[in-house]
Amino acid sequence: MGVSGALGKNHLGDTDLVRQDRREADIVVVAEHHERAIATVTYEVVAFASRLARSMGGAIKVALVASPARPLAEEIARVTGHDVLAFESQEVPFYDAHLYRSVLARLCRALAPRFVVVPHTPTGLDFAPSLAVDTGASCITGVTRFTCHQEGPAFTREICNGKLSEEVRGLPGRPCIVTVMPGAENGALRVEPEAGTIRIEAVDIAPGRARTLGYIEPPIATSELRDAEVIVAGGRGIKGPEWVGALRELAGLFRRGVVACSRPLCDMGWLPFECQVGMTGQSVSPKLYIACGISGAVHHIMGMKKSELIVAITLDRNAPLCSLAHYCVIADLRLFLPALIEHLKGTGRQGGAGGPEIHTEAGAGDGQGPKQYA
Amino acid sequence: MDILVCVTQVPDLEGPFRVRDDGRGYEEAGLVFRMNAYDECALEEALRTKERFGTARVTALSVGPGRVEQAIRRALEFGADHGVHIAVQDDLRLDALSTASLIASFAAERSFDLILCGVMSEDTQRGQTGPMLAALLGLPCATMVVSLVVSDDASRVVVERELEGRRRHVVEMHLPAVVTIQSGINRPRYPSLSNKLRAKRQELEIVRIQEAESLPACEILVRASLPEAKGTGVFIEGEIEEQAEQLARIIRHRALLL
Repeated sequence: MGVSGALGKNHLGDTDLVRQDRREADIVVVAEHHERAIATVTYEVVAFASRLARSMGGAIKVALVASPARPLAEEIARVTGHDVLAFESQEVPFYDAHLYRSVLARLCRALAPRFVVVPHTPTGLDFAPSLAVDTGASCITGVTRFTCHQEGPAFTREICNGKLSEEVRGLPGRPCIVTVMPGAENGALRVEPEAGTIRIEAVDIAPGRARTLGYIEPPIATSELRDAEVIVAGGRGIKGPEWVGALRELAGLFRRGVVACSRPLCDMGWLPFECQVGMTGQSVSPKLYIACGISGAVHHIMGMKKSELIVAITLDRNAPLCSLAHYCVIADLRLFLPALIEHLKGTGRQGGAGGPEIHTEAGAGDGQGPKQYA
Repeated sequence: MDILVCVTQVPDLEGPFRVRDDGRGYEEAGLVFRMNAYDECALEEALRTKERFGTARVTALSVGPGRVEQAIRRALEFGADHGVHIAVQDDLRLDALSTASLIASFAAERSFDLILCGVMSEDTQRGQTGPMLAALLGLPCATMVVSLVVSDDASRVVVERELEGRRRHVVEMHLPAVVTIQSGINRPRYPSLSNKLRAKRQELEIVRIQEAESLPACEILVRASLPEAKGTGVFIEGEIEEQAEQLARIIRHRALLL
């Protein structure tokens, strides 16, 4: 692998450049971008790294592998105030694992950072673990936060669909690569008065044994999910394709109600991909999200957590979605959905006289008594 | 062609989990284990590829304590030709690099054309073992693959990686290569009766690992714990009809109905 190291095209003079190089970078953040735009998750990850840098003391540099690099580098430098080290490969302008690994491994050897912070996305996960092997670094994925300890920061990640937390640290004496979950930070960076510096290097890497043939754009998603007021979403707890009908019936009771689902129902072919909510599907923020049989794996929650009112109907009291939901009903969907539909239609049977009262919002009440039946 | 499929077991995720007394992960006693769903898709993809190339052979491998033999035999039931158990002592927590190192040592002595893994395991959800294995073996790797086609001369594979919003990244790799498989790529088949019978009787290749403590590691576990209860939501209790009535009342209050 050769690198034609043409330093330059920088708006600072040479002496400033040398001074920049000698300053230690304790944390390198790897920027993510798609279709000539910086991905929002990059700024979330920079915010995370900034807090980490403040707590342990240290400088941040943002690494960008892109071609052309300048417009993206300038945006990052301006928005974050951090210095940007950009690497441009004319032959490989797309994301390429071999290119990222080669460039970032060389950068890590040069800067010896303590941490390399990467967005936890399909792209980040594609190169971060291999980069760890290349550089002898530790590797911790799916991190939501860090905690300071005497020995250094430890990182928290959730496992088993959020039912357990692990606190993990890197091995001593070597860099630690960390992938940070989208949404772990709200990405609101402080406005920086001064843009960071930019250094762009042209890179000439012998091709690896993989090459990008292209990208396939998904069919344009209808705005149905985005515009919906009410979403009735099904998950693994929906035990058969015949129950999709019940979801549709429930959604149909609302002015702008739409059926959606988590990934498993699409994998099984019970609902089309356009219905999927989550990281590889769509993000939604309806007024009401009724999650039927959805455990709340983090990839799904990412796509719906901004919903105004979240109701979870599940048999699993410990499901992570129950922590997120405003209301939880622990019930068998096969019994509960028909009952809910009937009650919403106003034809439901009355509950027992001793039924428990529950609080809705203060002063709430729909002004109507329950319907009476002969 | 020779295909290696790495499979792992995961516990049933629908019940509650308890933390081990020593804080080193979750308590396994009482949990029911099954094959990782992503690995089932990887295995199915291997079997479909094998069916295209008449002389192909599928090896299913798992790293773990005695219980993983059940997953290996399950792979044989689906149609894998050969099963390998890299046996470590019970109770040993292996991180992704340790696991990948064990698999790499095994694979380095054979010549697999294609190595498939699930994109992640459903329990730890790290997504690291596949790419680390590729790096250790010096092979190219593509992750989160939802479409895989081996060329007719078995020298290359074209894969589609699934990105956010279902955008796909199309990559061609020279074989041998490692591919991690995302769910939705296929629907795994049902085991055939003849394979089920074979799986019961067939001898597995067993590799016993003695000094697992000296394996390379990529992280140190400080402790496992139950997450802080962050929920402020209300549980609507009662019989089905009471719950339905109360939820209907809450929903009606929002004035969203037709």
